[in-house]
This record gives sequence, structure tokens and C-alpha cells, in this order.
Amino acid sequence: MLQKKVCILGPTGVGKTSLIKQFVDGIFSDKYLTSIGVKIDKKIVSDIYTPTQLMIWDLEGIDKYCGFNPRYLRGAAAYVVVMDHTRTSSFSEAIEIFKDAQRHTDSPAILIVNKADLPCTVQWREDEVKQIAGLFSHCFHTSAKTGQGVKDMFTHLAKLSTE
Amino acid sequence: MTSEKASQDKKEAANGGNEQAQLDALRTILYGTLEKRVCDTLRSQQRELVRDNISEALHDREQQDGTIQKVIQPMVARSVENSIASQRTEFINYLYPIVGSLVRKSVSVFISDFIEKTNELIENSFTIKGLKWRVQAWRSGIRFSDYVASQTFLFQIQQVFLIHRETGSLLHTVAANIQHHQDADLISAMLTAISDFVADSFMDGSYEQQLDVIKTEKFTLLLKSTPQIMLVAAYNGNLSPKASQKLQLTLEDIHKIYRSELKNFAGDIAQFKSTDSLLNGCLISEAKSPETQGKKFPIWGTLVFVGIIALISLYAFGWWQTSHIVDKIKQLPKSPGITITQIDTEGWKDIALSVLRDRHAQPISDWLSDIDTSFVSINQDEFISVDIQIVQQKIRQQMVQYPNVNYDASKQALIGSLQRGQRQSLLNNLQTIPGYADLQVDISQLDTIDIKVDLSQSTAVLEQTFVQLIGEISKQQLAFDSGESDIEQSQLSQIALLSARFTDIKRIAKRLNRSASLIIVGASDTSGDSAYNKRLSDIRAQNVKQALVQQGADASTLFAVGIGEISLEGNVKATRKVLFNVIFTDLAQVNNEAEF
Repeated sequence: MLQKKVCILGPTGVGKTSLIKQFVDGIFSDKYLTSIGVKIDKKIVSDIYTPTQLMIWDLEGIDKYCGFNPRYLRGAAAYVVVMDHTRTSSFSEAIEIFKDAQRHTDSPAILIVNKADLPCTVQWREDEVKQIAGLFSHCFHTSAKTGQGVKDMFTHLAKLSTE
Repeated sequence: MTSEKASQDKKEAANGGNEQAQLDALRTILYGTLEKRVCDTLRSQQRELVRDNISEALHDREQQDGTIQKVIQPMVARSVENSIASQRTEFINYLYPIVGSLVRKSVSVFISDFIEKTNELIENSFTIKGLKWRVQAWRSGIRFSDYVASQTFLFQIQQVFLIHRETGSLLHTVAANIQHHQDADLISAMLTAISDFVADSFMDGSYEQQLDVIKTEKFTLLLKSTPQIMLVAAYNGNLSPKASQKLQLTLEDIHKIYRSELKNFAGDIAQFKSTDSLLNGCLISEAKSPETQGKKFPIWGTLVFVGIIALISLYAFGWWQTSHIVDKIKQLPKSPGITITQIDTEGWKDIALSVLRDRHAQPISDWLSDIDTSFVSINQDEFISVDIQIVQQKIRQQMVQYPNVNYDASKQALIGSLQRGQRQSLLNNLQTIPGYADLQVDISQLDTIDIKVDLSQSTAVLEQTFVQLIGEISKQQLAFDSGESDIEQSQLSQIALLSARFTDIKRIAKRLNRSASLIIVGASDTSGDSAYNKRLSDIRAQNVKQALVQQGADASTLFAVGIGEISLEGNVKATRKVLFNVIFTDLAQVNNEAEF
């Protein structure tokens, strides 16, 4: 079995930690996010060709006052950028984070549009959406509340990290 | 290519390049064209070259830094594993001669270890010191084993982690206690994150601060790093410099030996399993108190061990006793009338014995008198034995009632004399004995004694005869023709018989203390005159009386009476008769009534 490090990035409040909680078992509490800016969980994904244990680094929410620690991205086989389709600002913030991450790693990335259980309040132009989606390896619509798309996303993330 | 390089180097040398460039140029001039030839020559002779020097080279390298055995050890282990798997039979043949010694040694080491550990356990648990430690451990909120370790050792390295620095992946871990393995991979990743956090938070210009030690109340983490890996040792106590140095050396060895694996690491941690022996070498501990350093006699462990051996011996002896007794019972000489149906060992010192016993056989307790039956439970059922000795015993028992008869068992004969009735009774009783018929006892010498019985004096006989005679007389009847009353000649014999019978009655009555009289009743038919017929019947009765007296009957006891006509339907001749009836009385009763 392989062991791969993957990182979850995104603005504050988009549901990164909730997404991970839907999927994994952890031993460390969420307080580590606020104390050192990262919390680590693990999950074995076995329904792919090579079973893989994902070490999921949940990085604290990033905003204009506080960027993420690029050191945490070191060695990541893939990473995820999460945004919230009920909040317009999270869209642009996610793009900024992605561009910032690209400066420190060339690992593949997945775009997550979270809170799919809520009605979309963001109005995007179609060409805008296509352009952004094209930058990522894949785009998933997920709901941490209902679990929609979460398992598929992590399975794809595991496949991506082993390619 | 070589000539181009030579000309380039020459240009650089000509242009006053640096010393290195000049050296390179010189080298190229001297060896440039020969470089390939030299390499080819070396290549063709490399086998001989290596063959000639490999032993020395290995020896020298091993002496230098000891890495040869570290590199070879995992290869040898894998090789042995594969060989055993593919050549199992050969290995069995190789190892078979030494297995006995190995087992003996192993058992000896096991026993020593067991005694030591038991001694330690008892010393730590059941002594004053042990109890104190338990209280202290409870107060501190740590496990007793950890507290013992902290009291026993100056330091003890509990667990070692080998971590890939860049990804935080746990490459391998070893622990002194298997319980420390939980979620080691998450801990490793968090340690990496914390190290990154510290490096980032306390950056001094471009110099990154490295996290060396994380200290808590109960344990300490020592972090040693190279650019690619981190070795983290979790220990308690105060680590000696020697132990720290050992960790550093191990880290460097791993870095050196697994350089290419680390360089190309893509998440496959299985390739680092072979660091097991290197990491296990880091699980160092150093004992604390001087008295534990010397070898002391493990008294408690020895006592426990001796106790266990004694219990096992006792148990084994008990089992031996049980099976010995079972064998003894099975080998007992057969007792007549006793048959063993089942004998089972129910448990330790518990035997169940089921027997069938004839009532005339010897008691079971006597039969088993030579055996310790304290843990034998006997279930006894009755049965009827046809064993010869039992049958003979039963015959003897019957003989007790017949002291005049002797049973000779050797000849199978009954000898003696018995009255007929007794003889028959004895033989009947003997026939009821099961198995008697098979013995074919000879009864030819069992004589019969016939006894004459004079019943004449017997009251019962007399009584019966008396009644019988009365009945005979009552049946007698003398018939007369019409108008006739004389006794005919042909009737005299009947008269004589009547007289004789009445005389007998008189005689017997006397012996029975009775008085008896004969009533002679004359009767006539209804033809003619009734008064005439009355007189006629009377005359008839008197004539018969006279005839009886003449025959010898006592006249005083004869009473004749005529009753006249008897009217009887049918044959009237039947009424022209004289009838007889005997009356008697008990004289004793008469006397008693008279007295009263």
C-alpha cells in the first residue's frame, strides 16, 4: 500500500474540515488548525488499482490577512482547493489560493465546489467557469452535510496522487 | 566529442582559465583519447580485479564504518527466507541434528527468563516497594509499567520513528512495547507539521530553526534530521550522550544506505521495512540503581517456578496413581459372582467402577481389600451368577436345613438320608438354584426313609371313619313286599353288615367319648288301611331290630319305630321300607351341661 500526502486548501468557512470529517477518522482535534495552522487525518482508499493511505493535511482557512504556510505543501502528491457556491468572494479567493499554491508546487489539483445542498447564489459567466475549471485536473460538486460527491472526490484524489 | 572538449579546454587554458580548467585540459590531453581505451580495458578485467580485492575491500569497509553488514543483513535475511520457502526439506535435514540442542537451550533460556520475569513481577507487585510504586503510578496517572520503567531505568527509549521530512510519511517505526504503535503515522505527520511550524515561526533571516527536542512531563522526543529523513526517539529519563550519538549514527547509516530509495520516494514505505534491525538497535535503555546491575538470585521467581513444578508433579503423580489403581483393579483375580462391567477414569484421582455382584459373592470391599479405594466410586448392581462356586455355595446354604445330608463338592454328590417328604422338598429347592441343573449333582446316595404311620389312634382319622360309617348305615334300606314284615334270607347279609357297621360305630364313638344309637324306622305304603299300615310298619321295624340283635348288635342302643304310611308319588314300593339312622352325642358336652 502506498502512502500519499494531500493538502486541502481554501478560504475560511467553505467547509474544508467538514468535508474531511465526512470521510475520515482522525485522532487530533480541530484546535490544531488554529494553533499551528494544520490538522492531519488519514484514510485508506482501497477501491482503486493501488490501495493508498491518504495523509490529509487540512490547512487553516486562508484570507487576505493570512496566507497559508507553503511549507505544508511540501511533498504533497496532490491538493484540493475548496470554494463555497453560496459565497461569491470564496470563488476569487480560491483562485488566488490556487495561483499561490502553484508557485510552491506543481502537483495536480482538484477544485471543489462545496455546499451543493444549498441553492447557488453565485452568478458566474460560463466562459469564466470553463476557464477556471480547465486549470484543475477535475472539478467536483460536494456537500459535506449530505455526503454528496465526497467519496468520489477523495477516490479521485487518491488516483491522482498515485499517477 | 573528445577532440572538441580538448580544444575547448585548451582554449580555456590558453585564455588563462582557472586551475581546475587547466587540470581538466591536461587530463584530456593526456588521457582523452585513451580514456575510452582505459575504460574498456578496466571493464574487460573488472571481474578479475574485483575477484582479487573484494574480500579485502569488504573487510576494510566493514572496519571503516561497519556499513557492509548493515547493507548485507537485509539481503541475507531475504535470501534465507526464500531458501527456506523453496527448499524446506533440505533445511529440515540441515537443522534436524541440532534441533535437540536448540530445544534444550531454548527451554533452559525460557525457564531462566521465566524465573527472572516472575521474580521481577513479584518484586514489583507484591513487595513493599512494588506496592509503593503502584500507588505512585496511580497518583501520577500513568501506567504502572511506565512508572516501573521510569524507576528502573536511567533512560529507556520506548519508540523510534523514521519519517520522510518532505511528506511527513512514516517510513518505519519500532517500539519497545507493542502498545505504542497506535496511529504512529498520524503522529509522524503532525511532528513534521510542528517542525515546519517551528522552522517557519522562528526563522532567523534565512536560517531555519530546527526542532531538536520536545519535552513533556512523562517523556521526551528527540529529533535528529538529515535533509531527507528525520529520526525521532521517544524516551523517558535522561538520555546519555552515547545513546544520542547512536541515534545520530543510525540516522546517517540509513541516509547513506537508502539514499536512492529516499531520493525517489513516491509513497512506497514497504522498501524501508529492512531498517528494522537498525532501528531496533536504537531501543536502548540503561538501568538506574546500582543494585540492579549485579546479577542477584531471583528468589521469588525461583519459588514460583518450584511451586509450579511441584504442582505439576503432584498432578502428574495423581494421574499416575489413578491409572495405576485402574490397572490393579483390572488385574485382580476373578472373584466368583463379581463381574466388572465398566471402569473409567473420570478425572484426577476419580475412578468410577461399575460391577455386577451376586448376593452370595464376597463383599466388594473384601475383594478390593488390597487396593486403595479412597478415590474409587463403586456402583454395584445385583445379578444372579451361575458361577460353579456360587452355585455350590447356594447348595451348601440349602444343606443347613438338612443336617443329615452332606454335599460333597468334589464329587458333586448329595450323601445322606431323608424322609420322603423332606427329600422331595430339598430336591425342589435345589432345582430353583440357577445353574444347579448344569452341575448334574448325583443324588443316588441320597436315601429315602419311609415311615409307617398308625393312623388308627388318630382322632381325625377316627372322626372321619365315624362319619363315613354313619353315612354308610344311613344309605342302607330294607325293602318289604306288600303286607309282609318278615326278614327274608336274602336280607340277612345286609342285616349282618349293618350290625357290624353299627358295632364299629359304637366302638369308635366310645373312643371319641360319644354315645351312639341306631334308629330303625319302619314305613309302609298307602294301600289298605292306615291303622293296619301303621302296625305293619311298626312290626317291620321291630323285626329288623330283632335281626340286628341276633347279629350281635346291642339291643339297648337300638330303637325301632314304625311311622306308618308314606305318601310318595310314583313307585309305591319305595315306601315299603325300613330305614336306618344313627344319632350320637358328645358325652363331654353332656357332662358340662349337666354340671351347669
